[in-house]
Amino acid sequence: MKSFINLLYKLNDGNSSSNVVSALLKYFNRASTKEIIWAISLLKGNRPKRTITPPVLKKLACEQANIPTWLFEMSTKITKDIAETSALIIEKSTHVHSKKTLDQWCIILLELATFQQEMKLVKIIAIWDQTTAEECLLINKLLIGSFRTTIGQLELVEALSIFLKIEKHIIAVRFESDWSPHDESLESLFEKPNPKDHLAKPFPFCFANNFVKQTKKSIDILSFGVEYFRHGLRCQVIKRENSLYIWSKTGQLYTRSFPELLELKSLPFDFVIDGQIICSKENHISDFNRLESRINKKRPTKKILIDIPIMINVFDILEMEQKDFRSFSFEKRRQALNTVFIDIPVTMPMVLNELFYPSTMEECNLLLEKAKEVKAKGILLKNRTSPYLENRNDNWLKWRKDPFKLKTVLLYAQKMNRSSVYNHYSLAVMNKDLLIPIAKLEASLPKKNILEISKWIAKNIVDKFGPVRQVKPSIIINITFEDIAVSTRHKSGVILKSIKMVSWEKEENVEEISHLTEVISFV
Amino acid sequence: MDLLINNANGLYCPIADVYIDPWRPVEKALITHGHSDHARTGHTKYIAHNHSVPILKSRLGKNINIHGVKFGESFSINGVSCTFYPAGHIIGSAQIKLSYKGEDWVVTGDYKIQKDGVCTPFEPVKCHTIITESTFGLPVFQWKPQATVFEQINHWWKTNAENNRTSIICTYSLGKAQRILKYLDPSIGSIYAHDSINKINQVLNEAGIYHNQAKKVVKDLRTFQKDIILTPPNTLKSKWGKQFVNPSIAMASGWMAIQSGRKRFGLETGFVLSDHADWNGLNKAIIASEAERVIVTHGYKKAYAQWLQTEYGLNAQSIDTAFVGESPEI
Ligand SMILES: [Zn+2]
Ligand SMILES: [Zn+2]
Repeated sequence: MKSFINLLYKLNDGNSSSNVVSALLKYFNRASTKEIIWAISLLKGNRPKRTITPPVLKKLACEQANIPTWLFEMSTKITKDIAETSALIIEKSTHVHSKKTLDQWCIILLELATFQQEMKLVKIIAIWDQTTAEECLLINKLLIGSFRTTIGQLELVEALSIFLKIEKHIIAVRFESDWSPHDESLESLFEKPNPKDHLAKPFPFCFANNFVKQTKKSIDILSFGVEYFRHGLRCQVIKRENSLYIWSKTGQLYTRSFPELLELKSLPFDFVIDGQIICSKENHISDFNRLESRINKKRPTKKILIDIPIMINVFDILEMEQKDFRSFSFEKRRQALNTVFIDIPVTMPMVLNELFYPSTMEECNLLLEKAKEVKAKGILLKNRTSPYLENRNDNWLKWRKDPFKLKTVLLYAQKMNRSSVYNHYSLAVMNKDLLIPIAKLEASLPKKNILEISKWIAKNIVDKFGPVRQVKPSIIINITFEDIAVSTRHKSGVILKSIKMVSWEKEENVEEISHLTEVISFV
Repeated sequence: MDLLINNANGLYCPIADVYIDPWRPVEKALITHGHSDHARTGHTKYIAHNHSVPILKSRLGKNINIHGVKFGESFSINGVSCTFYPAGHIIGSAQIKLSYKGEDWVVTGDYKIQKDGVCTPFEPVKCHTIITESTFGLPVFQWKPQATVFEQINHWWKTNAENNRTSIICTYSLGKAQRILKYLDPSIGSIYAHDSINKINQVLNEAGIYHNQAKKVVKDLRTFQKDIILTPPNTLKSKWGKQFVNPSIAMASGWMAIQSGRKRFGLETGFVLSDHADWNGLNKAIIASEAERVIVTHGYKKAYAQWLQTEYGLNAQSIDTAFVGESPEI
């Protein structure tokens, strides 16, 4: 189990995606195929059912270690994890990892769950006695069902694809299906060919370049169609034969997250469309905050399906009845879409994104100005004669609306990631007479400013909370943000999106910062 | 009246008119060891263990007025008998016992029970009142034998070397650096250190106290691929730290025992190695001192004092000091 524990250390470090993939590959190359199937099941988030409750674990650990409950609780304030406190407080007779592999341990724990409570506890004590603190930590997490990883489907699929030499879309589809490490092997789950494998395969996405000032002058607006883009999940929806697949632009499979779209299977023709999944209730587009809570749910509950319904806002068609449409002009593809939509029932969670043909740049500007009104992030300009190309190109241009602006004051600072300077700020606005944090982000001012502010912080600390330093409110920072939503989880009552630090206003003082009422007026 | 009190300048003995590890400039200071939160600048007169003398001179200035003493040798200040005993924390580290009219007080300074093979091992000192640190005064901190940890470190280094990766190990320059340097396996590759570590090693070497040496990192065409580099963590983000290509970076600290500690440093690898007593070490030391009264300073002092009261029935209290425990900046 040692190599799996080492892998977890690497995955928990907020490592870059490529590092995660290479750590996974290293692990796959060393582990047995039997172990790998259990490992990927755990990493996928299929936690074994809890064997004992956290309070039972705590009580047992306290008894074994001869530690009073209050001291256990004090310790847990530091570790923030009952499984970890339990693993660490027990004096260990061995510092050598057990010979048992992850799959063996998983089977032992599954069997353990079938025993009577008292017998379970006896067996757990015996397990604690044979294992190191590191192993105990993982075992305890599995026992109380608190095992989590931050690893994403993308990295797992990519690593498996390289390791097994099988195309990513095949791995993703099978990985996301319902399977249990009990009944499957790597062979049966991934390697066995299926004649339907090719159905799921997505096309490479076409991306827009940013619309920069120079291009603004040189483009001929008459050769472009213009449409809005929103806070949504860009995806390709594939309906081939009787199967439906939803792929994000990063290659993540989302079919299960949006069961509403399974209705599309009833359409009497096959297609591949490109669009954005947006949250919309009674023709009212919801904010990004709700969308995110929806995207993050792998298996949405009934309540969520009712509270945050989604639909797909379609803007392109790439394949129709097995015919590749990508070489057709944008205009022709849009015509094809128009025809398709004539036959689509209005009850389908699917709408055609409105397309405009402005005849002057002024009209185009007007569309952008209205972006806020229609809850869009900006507009996309698409060349009418262009084919659907792979990757980023100038046939599509993205023009974002102007961000919102705020004047804030530095309230808390923190050194993150081994930094020798304060590199994380909490910024506040005024709420009546009090300061209220509105944004927490990495300091992204010029290096010179950050150094200077860091030195200032060191001399102006008024309070400490762990690694966080509260400072005298006097460093004024201008920020911009692209969107705002109501949030009950934030003290200010709002959450901002795509925040950027613009400048440090050395000459201004705290009286001049923005007020919360002003921020709320943006919602 | 208490033999030692905690005033604005530090731990003070009014009868002897002397401070122990004061944090503000005073007339006469007894210094437990050379870490910067214990040995500060500006005192008129310093008294420390012989082995701390070159360390203090190098850190605080050649011209400080310092007097070195031996372990176990008593001397008197205004009728208060004063003795230094080994604390096992770093080279020169001492517990200081003050005795007056049959009453003994011990200030432990920082200490550990484990023998590290570098500094004089900890000796329990019997007393009536003990002022102890509690940096790791929670039961989640339990160290593995040192040999196990060094096996891990050498194994990690060897694996990196086999993959042509430079190993960087973060550690503070006085204490742990000397300890790690002593147990690295030189058959794996060359051992380098940041100047701040080499400087202390040289001071200790010249004083004839410690002899392992690391090489100086000189900018040339070397790639350090099979080598290990010892450095304080704050150098990593600097130009100096960035000259190493795709290194494997590890931290050696007691904080590596817990997930949140590892997360805080955000490093790939952590080794649980501390120069402070772990939970069992603290308990052993307190019991061995036979003290009835315990005053707990830096660390989880409130929890630890409560434990001593409820578990051992000792008269235990916690006080605030300016000592910082195990921090990479020391
Ligand atoms: Zn120290
Ligand atoms: Zn200390």
